[in-house]
Amino acid sequence: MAGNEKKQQDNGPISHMLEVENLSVTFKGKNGDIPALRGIDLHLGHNECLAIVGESGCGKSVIAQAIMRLLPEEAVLSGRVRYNTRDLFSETNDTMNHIRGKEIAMVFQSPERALNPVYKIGRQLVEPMVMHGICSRSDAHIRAKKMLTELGFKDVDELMHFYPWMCSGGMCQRILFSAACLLQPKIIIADEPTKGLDADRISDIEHMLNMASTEYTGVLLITHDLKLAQRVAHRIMIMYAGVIVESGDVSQVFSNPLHPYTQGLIRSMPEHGFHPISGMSPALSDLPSGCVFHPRCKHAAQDCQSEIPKWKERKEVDGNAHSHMVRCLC
Amino acid sequence: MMPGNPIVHLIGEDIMVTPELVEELTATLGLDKPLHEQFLIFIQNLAAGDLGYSYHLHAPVAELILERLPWTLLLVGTALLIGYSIGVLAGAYAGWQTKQKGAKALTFIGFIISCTPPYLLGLVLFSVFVYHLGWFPFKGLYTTPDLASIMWHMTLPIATLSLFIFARNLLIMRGSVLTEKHQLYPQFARSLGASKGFVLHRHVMKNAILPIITQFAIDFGFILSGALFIEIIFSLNAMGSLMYTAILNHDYPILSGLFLVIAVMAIGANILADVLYGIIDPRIWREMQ
Amino acid sequence: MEIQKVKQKYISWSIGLSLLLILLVLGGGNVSASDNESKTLKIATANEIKSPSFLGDYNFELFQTISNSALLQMDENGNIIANLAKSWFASPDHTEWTFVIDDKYQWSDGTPLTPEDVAFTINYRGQLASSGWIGDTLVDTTTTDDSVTFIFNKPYSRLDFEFLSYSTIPKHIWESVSDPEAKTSNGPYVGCGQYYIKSVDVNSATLILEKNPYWKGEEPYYDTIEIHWFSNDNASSFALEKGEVDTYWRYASTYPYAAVSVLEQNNRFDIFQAPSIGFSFLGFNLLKGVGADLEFRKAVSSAINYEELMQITTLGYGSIPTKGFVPPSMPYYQEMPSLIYDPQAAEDILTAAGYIDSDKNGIRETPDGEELLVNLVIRQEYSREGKLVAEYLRDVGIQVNLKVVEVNTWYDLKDNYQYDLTITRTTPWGMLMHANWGTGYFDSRRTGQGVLHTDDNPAYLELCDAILATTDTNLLEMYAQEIQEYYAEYLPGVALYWKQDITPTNKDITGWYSTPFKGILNEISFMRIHPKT
Repeated sequence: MAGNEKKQQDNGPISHMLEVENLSVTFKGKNGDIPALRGIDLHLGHNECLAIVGESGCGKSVIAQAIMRLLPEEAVLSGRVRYNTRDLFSETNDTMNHIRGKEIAMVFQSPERALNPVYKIGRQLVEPMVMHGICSRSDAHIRAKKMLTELGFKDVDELMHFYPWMCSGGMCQRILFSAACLLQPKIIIADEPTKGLDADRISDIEHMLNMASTEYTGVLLITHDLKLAQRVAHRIMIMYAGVIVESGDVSQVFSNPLHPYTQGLIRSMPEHGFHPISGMSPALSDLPSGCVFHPRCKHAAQDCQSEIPKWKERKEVDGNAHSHMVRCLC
Repeated sequence: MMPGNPIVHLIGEDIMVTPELVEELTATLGLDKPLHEQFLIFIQNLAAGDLGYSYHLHAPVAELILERLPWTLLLVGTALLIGYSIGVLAGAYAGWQTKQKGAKALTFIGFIISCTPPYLLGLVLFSVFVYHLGWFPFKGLYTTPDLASIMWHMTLPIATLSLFIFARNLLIMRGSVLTEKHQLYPQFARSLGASKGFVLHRHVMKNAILPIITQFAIDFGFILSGALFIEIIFSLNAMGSLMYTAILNHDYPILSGLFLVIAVMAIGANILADVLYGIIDPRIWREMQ
Repeated sequence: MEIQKVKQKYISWSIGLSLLLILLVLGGGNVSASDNESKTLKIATANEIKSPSFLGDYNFELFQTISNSALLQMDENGNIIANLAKSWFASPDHTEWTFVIDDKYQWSDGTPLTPEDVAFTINYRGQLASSGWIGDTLVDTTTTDDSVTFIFNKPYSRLDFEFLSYSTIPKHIWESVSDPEAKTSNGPYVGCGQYYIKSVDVNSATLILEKNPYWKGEEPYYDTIEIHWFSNDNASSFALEKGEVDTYWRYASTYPYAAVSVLEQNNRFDIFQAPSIGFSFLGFNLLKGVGADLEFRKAVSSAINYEELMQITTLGYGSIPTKGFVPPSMPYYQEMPSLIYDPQAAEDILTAAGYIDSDKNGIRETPDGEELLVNLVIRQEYSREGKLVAEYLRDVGIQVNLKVVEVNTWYDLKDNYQYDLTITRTTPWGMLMHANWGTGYFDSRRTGQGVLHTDDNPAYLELCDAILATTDTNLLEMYAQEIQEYYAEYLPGVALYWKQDITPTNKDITGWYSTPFKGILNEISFMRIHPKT
């Protein structure tokens, strides 16, 4: 089941559920500021799965936290995040509490550590529902058990009384997903859901993600796993050192990668020969001038060192829904 | 095995003693029997509820301890209650909202109090509230043995002791919460829509409170000596003074009785702490699986 | 939200409880305010009563001075004068003592006081450990309708002195008590003086005395006397300064010197100064080691900086002692040559006596060639004096090993003569006991916890015996002089400083009377004190 067979409507810009405009995040520090994100634009529509792919440390998770407004106080944000009609950056903390979980939910990496070790699983699933006033406690109990069964757990009654440390990593990951899905959010942000999991578990996650994007409204998948992105997402954005360098339909980007970094990433996949990209991604505190990728780019020209490339659109001939954009001077 | 001849203490300084008298008293007290025999007699008496007799205070040890125990419990028990509850809450707040002025002020106060010698701080409070302001009395557990008088007398000693316990617990809890808040689960809880306060009280507290429970068990071992400086400043006739005087006088019966009380309390507190730990942190049961 | 409601409940409960607490606390204060109707005198003390045992608690007995009058008392000059006994005499061989009872003294419960009570008291006390000597030597007691006679199996020339501290107890109460020291009660206790003990409470740290309605003598001014004891001196000083108490009294001791200046500024107090017969002194091991060498002792007595030591320890409320050891406030005091700080003289004496520093290392050697190292063994409370003395001696080439030990260890070492020098103190009782004038400390035959029993010089012992064999005041005056001359010549002990005992009293009250034995807490004082206006 390849992603390029999925059909979605072209809802157009007005009906995008989530729109991020020119998001920049800088972390203020004693030894200087770190510009973690610079000029991020993205949008997510209904029933759509958008994957943001990049190396560890490129800032993908920061986008998720910025949208949820869970960044620490030393982070300086600029830009706009619109969710439906709301401007998330201007909402009060109380409103954000209502939005988090119920409207936009996030599933973390390291699922064992994301669950509270001293509370039972059942309680941790039930609590958010009761808190948001979705249903009564007893109802929530029933729903939780149903969700767990759907996700493939046996002995659900017993599981509800387990503690997180009694479960494996994969189990915890599914429980985490359950906790988020039970709130029936409009958007699920999955942050590295398959990190450290083996093949069986990965396919479990794939299944959940697919289910999520068909039954719920939108999924923002953050991952370094290109294959997963290819199989699950509709659209993909490639990120490097705090900026998006390429964006478009999954089929388009994979069949015709425009940015040298994207090309390098695809070549580094096992099925394409495992060719690594030479060099290392830069520390966010010490970014190169001009195009951020130019030190590792085979096609780097003189201008690439000084000029920050703008978005360029590549028109597709075969009538695909979304435009294929790239930040490159080439 | 302790230094000093207790008989000599009975008689006091400046008084002439004949050797015959010393011998007689030694025999009466059974101090001439071999040590293991003395110990056996002690255990037998213990089973019968007899903790021995103090020749300095001229009363059965059990009676002496029971007279003073309620006062010590009142003083230390109340102070522990107040110090723990307020200290834990304040410490949780201070650790959770480290940037806020209130949190910084609390932390500062906690450090200042913890670094001040207890006797000095006690005297300062005495000076301010008793001498200068005249709000509280100069000494004693009460003036007349009724509730109002007792409360009037005990408020400042309890408050002083609470202050120390509060400061120490504040710092412990703050440290614990600081560690916990950087864990992943508080963030996950927030991401599901929990407010900061909710996450603190419902998620972090339970994890962060574990060192406090350990501290509680330790506190019970020091229950007597811990309050001694309070008893001296406010002239309170409770167990701490009893112990101090018994040590100076080598009053063995009282000391054995008191050590027993301390041992029982320490063991009890440790058992309680273990139980609480088991209730609060289920990871303890991992070994049992 | 759930959390909000919980918060609100918590806050309102806290406020409610706090208000209740404040009300009770303030209310307690008002209820406890003292009744100003009766004439009350309040005394602060550091002598804590640990147990309400009339005959068992040492400090409790101190306050019985004015309620359960002893047979005799001491006047301000240290002379023994009448009290419960209006007159007394001994048989020529001092084995029979007769006391004539003053009928002013009556029991506070209405029972008449008779010589039987006195007979009973002394015999009863023979059972107690602290007065066991009575049990060993009293063979018979007889009474008439106004006197009692005690017959001993050996002569006691100073029985009157020994009987100063025994409070008289009612026979009709105590004859049925089998274990006297274990009997505890919060009062009231039947007394026979101007007052009786109404109540004693170790929890409120208060002892209250009330006027004895059956007292037939002159009525004292105050109806009530309250004794308040404190566990620390700061609290008692505060109480005094604030006017919560009228005076401070401490047995055989002084108001803390450091706190006196505050009182002087306070301006509400008369600062009563009385020369004390308690003081610290340097004792020598006269039986072995360098302490046995008189020249060494003379040198040491010149090496001490008396002025500095006195200033540091008494803050100026003291004076430099004489070689005579006995302070001016004792009966038959003789002015002996003053002790003088003269390090050069000390060095000269040492050199002449054969203590020479041949290897020039700053420490002299004994005539045997060994380093002159002395062990100065002291208890914790004398560390200040100890350090200073060690310094002074080192300055003249005597190496001092200062050993600070806990009290029981000190008793052991002292009794086994395992020291060269020691520092300890005299108490009024200690100076007066045995053959008077501090002989109790040095007479090698007299053992006890606080005494050194180091002097076995036959001349000294004979002198002590002579004193013990007579009650003739002319002879006693002569012997007193001889004792003081002996001390000045042989230096068995060197007084480090003499001091004043400070007693602050409320300026508005006058009539205080102070004795060397009990300070202001004596029968005469309480008969006389009254407000000035």
